[in-house]
Amino acid sequence: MSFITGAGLTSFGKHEGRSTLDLMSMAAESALADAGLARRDIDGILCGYSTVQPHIMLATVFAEHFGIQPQYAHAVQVGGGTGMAMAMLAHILVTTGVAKNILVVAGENRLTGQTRDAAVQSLAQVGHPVFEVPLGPTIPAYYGLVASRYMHEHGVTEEDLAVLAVLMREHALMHPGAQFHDPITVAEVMASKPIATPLKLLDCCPVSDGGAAFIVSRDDTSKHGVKVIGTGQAHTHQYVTTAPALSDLGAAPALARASEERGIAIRDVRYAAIYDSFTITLAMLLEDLGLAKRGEAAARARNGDFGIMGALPLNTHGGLLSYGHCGVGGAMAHLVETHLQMTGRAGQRQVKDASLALLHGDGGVLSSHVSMFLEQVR
Amino acid sequence: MSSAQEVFADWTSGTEVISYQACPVCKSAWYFRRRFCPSCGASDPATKQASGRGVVYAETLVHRAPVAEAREHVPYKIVLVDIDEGLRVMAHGEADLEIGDRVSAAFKPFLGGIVPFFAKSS
Repeated sequence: MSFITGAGLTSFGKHEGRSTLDLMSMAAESALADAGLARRDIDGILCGYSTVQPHIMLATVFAEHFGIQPQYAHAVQVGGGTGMAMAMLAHILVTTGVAKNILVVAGENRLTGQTRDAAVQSLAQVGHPVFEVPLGPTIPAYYGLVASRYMHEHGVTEEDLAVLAVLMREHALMHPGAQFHDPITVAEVMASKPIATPLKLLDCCPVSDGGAAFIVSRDDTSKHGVKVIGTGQAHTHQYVTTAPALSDLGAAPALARASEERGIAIRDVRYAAIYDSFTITLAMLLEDLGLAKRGEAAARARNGDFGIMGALPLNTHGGLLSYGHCGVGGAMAHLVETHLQMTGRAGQRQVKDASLALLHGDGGVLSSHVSMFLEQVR
Repeated sequence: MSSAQEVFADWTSGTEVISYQACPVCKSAWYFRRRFCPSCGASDPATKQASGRGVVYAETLVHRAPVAEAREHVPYKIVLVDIDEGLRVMAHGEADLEIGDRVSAAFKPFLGGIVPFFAKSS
């Protein structure tokens, strides 16, 4: 058994002059305080990677910097799925007695620590170095390819995708830490500049500075722990060229593995935290996970189902699309927000019922998937 | 140089050919070069030359280039093409290509090398 006992999140956007280690430390400090723990209570550290500060031992670098001598520590790399993969691993490590309190932390000055060109170029390297990268693709191009096919097969329109961008922005407006504070409309998304068709600027998450952290513990040390009740992964490919058919991607098998232990039914989920690097990512994952019928994610959004007052509130902090995306910490913000919602501390964004949450992350080009169920402690 | 790399030249090394590998044991075919069959593990896969004909599976028109040198080329079309030999390749193509179009490959210079460039078959 494991509990998420504390969580911490910085604002996303520009943090001029802050390094990767600064942002990791800020998030870690607030997660510790939230869990009511001190540095000496932490016996395990898992951290992500930083494209701005690559290092072969980032977890140890951070532990030394932050002032912890853990008995277990290393970095994890699963692209955008890293945060959820770390949460899953921390759950396993705590459940099997390897550690009592694991600090999971990530942060990166991805926006101000490098030029935008360097960010775009370094991320494009997830493509195949010989058979893809020489063609000049970008991450949006990889997802643009996937989007073209998904829209072709399932009759999804660009307006449908725009609806999800608008929804994430509406949520971000209610979070002071979000990168964006101006409302947007479907028309504005449609008119935003093309990046890699059918994806336009407002279909894409931004590059951000930021940090996120949470503590996974054997005991519910704080008065606001939430219980991890199922985790699962699936990895079907790395490169978009070698991806299986859209009907055979990894979200569904990862979800099935996470549901198995407790026999959780998708209809029982009350809150959803779903990876949304692009609007197409969010649409596909919602439908692959069964949170919307095939081709109907936008219809559910238009109906208000995914809103804060809706039947299935989704990414109430604004998601990667509007809270921001600082690399590994980006998707960890989904978990931090879920923790706030499940513990009744989301303020003006508080949903009525977050008793059972589904979280899902993906890395690469829908290559690596991690699902997790969290349950409120009563 | 591995033997697999020595025995053939293709667009990735500047020769106007799309090549692929095939397993003599389990008969599977794949695109990304390696020294064994990713399906059954058999060694010494055969290298074959693709016809360069196929059908567009997915397409995107890239307006934001990943590197400064690619900027003069925007917008450029990137496609995934299911070639007749039963595997998928990423390539460039005519800007108006759509999913389902029957296409064939030529080659164009791009960023100091050459890349496969698909156009509608007549």
